Amino acid sequence: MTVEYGRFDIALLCSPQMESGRHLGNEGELIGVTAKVVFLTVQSPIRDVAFGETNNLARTLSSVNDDGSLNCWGSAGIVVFRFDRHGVPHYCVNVAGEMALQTWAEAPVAGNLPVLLSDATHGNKLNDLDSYMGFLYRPEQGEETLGDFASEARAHFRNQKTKAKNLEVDLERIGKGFETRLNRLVDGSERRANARSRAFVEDVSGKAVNTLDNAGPVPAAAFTRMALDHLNGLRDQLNAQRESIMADVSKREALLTAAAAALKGATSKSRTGRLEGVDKPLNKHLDAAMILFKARHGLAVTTIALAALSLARNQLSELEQRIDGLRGSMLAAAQLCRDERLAFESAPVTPVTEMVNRPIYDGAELKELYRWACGSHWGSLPADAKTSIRQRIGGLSAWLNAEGNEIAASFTDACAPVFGSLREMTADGFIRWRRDVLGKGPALFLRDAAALASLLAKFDRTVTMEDEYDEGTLTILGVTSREESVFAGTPMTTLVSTGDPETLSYLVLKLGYAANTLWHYPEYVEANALIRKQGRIAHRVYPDFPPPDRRGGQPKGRRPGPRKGR
Amino acid sequence: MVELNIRSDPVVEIGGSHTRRTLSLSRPLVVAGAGGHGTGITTAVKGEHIQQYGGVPHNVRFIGVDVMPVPRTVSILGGASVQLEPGVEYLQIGKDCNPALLRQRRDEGRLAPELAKLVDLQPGGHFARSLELGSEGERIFGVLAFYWSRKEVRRLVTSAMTGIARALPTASDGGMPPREAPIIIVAGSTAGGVGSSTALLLTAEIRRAMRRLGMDVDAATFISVLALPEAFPITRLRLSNCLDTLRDFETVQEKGVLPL
Repeated sequence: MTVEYGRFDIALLCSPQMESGRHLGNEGELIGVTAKVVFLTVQSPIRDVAFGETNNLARTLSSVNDDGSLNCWGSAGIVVFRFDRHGVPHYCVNVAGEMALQTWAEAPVAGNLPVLLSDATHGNKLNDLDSYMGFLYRPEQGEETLGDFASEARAHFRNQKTKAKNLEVDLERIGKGFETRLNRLVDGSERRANARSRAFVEDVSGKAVNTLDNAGPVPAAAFTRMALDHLNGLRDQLNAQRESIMADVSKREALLTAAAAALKGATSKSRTGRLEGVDKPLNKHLDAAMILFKARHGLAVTTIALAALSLARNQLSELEQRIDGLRGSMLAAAQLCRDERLAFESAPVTPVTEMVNRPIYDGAELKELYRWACGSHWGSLPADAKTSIRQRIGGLSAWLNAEGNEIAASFTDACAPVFGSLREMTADGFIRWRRDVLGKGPALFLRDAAALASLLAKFDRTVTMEDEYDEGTLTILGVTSREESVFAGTPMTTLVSTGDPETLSYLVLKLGYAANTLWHYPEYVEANALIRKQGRIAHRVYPDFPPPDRRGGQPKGRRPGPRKGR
Repeated sequence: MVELNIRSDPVVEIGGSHTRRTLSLSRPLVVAGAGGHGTGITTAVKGEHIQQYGGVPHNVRFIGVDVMPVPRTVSILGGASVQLEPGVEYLQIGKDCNPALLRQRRDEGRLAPELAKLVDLQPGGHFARSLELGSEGERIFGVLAFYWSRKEVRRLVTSAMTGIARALPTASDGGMPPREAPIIIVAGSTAGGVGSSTALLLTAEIRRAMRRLGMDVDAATFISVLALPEAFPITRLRLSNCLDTLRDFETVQEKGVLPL
């Protein structure tokens, strides 16, 4: 039968035999010393630094004077075995002295403080417990004690100056290792601060974009501004805190220097083995070192937080600028739409539009079309249409980097489905709608079209005012589809299918004289004068219409008479 | 108002005077003592905590097992006495265990097999007296007492470890091992009868309780504190016990198991 006990990470074997040769009085005294070891061990950061990660615990605890001698204070001997993951003991340390125990527990913080090492720690690994037991119970020497063993080790070490120097190098390396650990700690704080700033920026950005999508750019910009103001307040607080900590660090450094000096003086006196004189300065030194460490760490973390804060401010400022830019772009888009409407409403009437491209509807009909299509008066929009357009637009955040014309285009695209019935309406359909809704039949449209014809057409009609034109007039109406047209059955009109859904082509051909036959009619002269009075020129209205001053005259270029040189 | 919560994680803080520390342990601590010396160390560590903190931190537990009915008392600075609380921190093992009852239960088949094996393995070949009188340095008595009170030991250990499992850490420097991984310290003497024979058994019970509570046993740090026989007047029995204990210890360190 076997029982699984598991291996120990650290084993302490405690002996009351002191390094100085003195023996602790009784078991109770050893219990007190051992309890202090346990208490300091679990209280100190060394339990993570040295026990967890340092390979050679013994060298961590070592301290050698310049002359190669080892510092040592006498008290109970403690043997420490350091086991690896497989349970193999590697190191044996004879930590001598109550003060040394305290030093051992807080060595990484306090720096290089005196601890005595056994021979096994100095390169000669203690491979198993048999070796240790051999030290303890050598049969030829009777009951050996740890004190003898430690005395031998101390005498041995005093002659090992070279090795002592190596230990110093190791100690320096360990000190750098601790510094590296501190840097890692600070790096970790930096990562955490940056992560928190990123989380803050993402949170604020998300809320700002949400506000932008739901309420518009103005509240979103106000929200971002509020967050930036908050960050500015935090920055001021952190700056004040940083200044305060810097002053505290300076003060603590001075205290640590004083404590180190006091400890150095006390240490030289403690070589006699007495502990009372060293305990107080050592504790002061340790406390000063820990408080300074804490202050420095706080300063580093505050600086890191300031940097993260600056990053967050920059990102939020950029977001604020983008939202402001969106406001400008949306205003530009609105202006574009407004200009488009004004351009439509105030489109100049040109002769060409009058003759060949005149709209078939007027402004009143357009407004009526609007009311018919969306169910609201001109200039207003029903709520459901607004909702549908808003849904088609989606979040305004999609426009954050768009130009005004892009915004206007996407806006009109979103509006298009509301007026889908108008987009599908053909010109022929419009006449039908006009008949059905407004009561204006197609004949009326043709009459109005004739009435709105250009001056030239009117003048032309005056030529044949003797009602002779019935036989000499050919009326052709181009519609989308002659079979489905509302103009079907119009008398004396020939319908032609053009396939063009947007255009009605109305052509009246007069069978009669050529245009220049009009020249000798007095009405033509009056008409020409009327055109000129309107600021126009007849031959520009109708390019094929020659000017009156060239009527019947000789072409310019050569004077009459015989040619010279012939 | 949105708030930016940037703060530094607390590091290990040691402040105030050098005799009164304000450090709060980041890892739970269990100090278990076996035998008279082990419970003495455990009680002294408790006294150190009371002396330094004014009380026992919430994530620190003490366990003591011994055959003596009254736990050991340790004096601390200021003249006060500290003692493990019976029933909560201290357990008397081997209580009511006498030779007649042992044999009777063994004959009736009501004795655990591992315990039944021990009944006739005592010094002198028979079990002659009550364990309540102490082990008198015999390791087999310690083992016997431990197995006799195994249920009570498990109840005590599970109760203590349950409190540790629920305890939340209060400080971290960001680079430590998992904060909930406790430090387990098992103390005893290599020379005596109870501590030398039950320290490893107590460790096994702690590991078992941790596993049953879902704690990460591999992340925990196990530290043994064993007193060498120089702490006591040297006798042949104590030297023998020490050699046996260290041999057991070496076997456990090498193989992780110990043949019974």
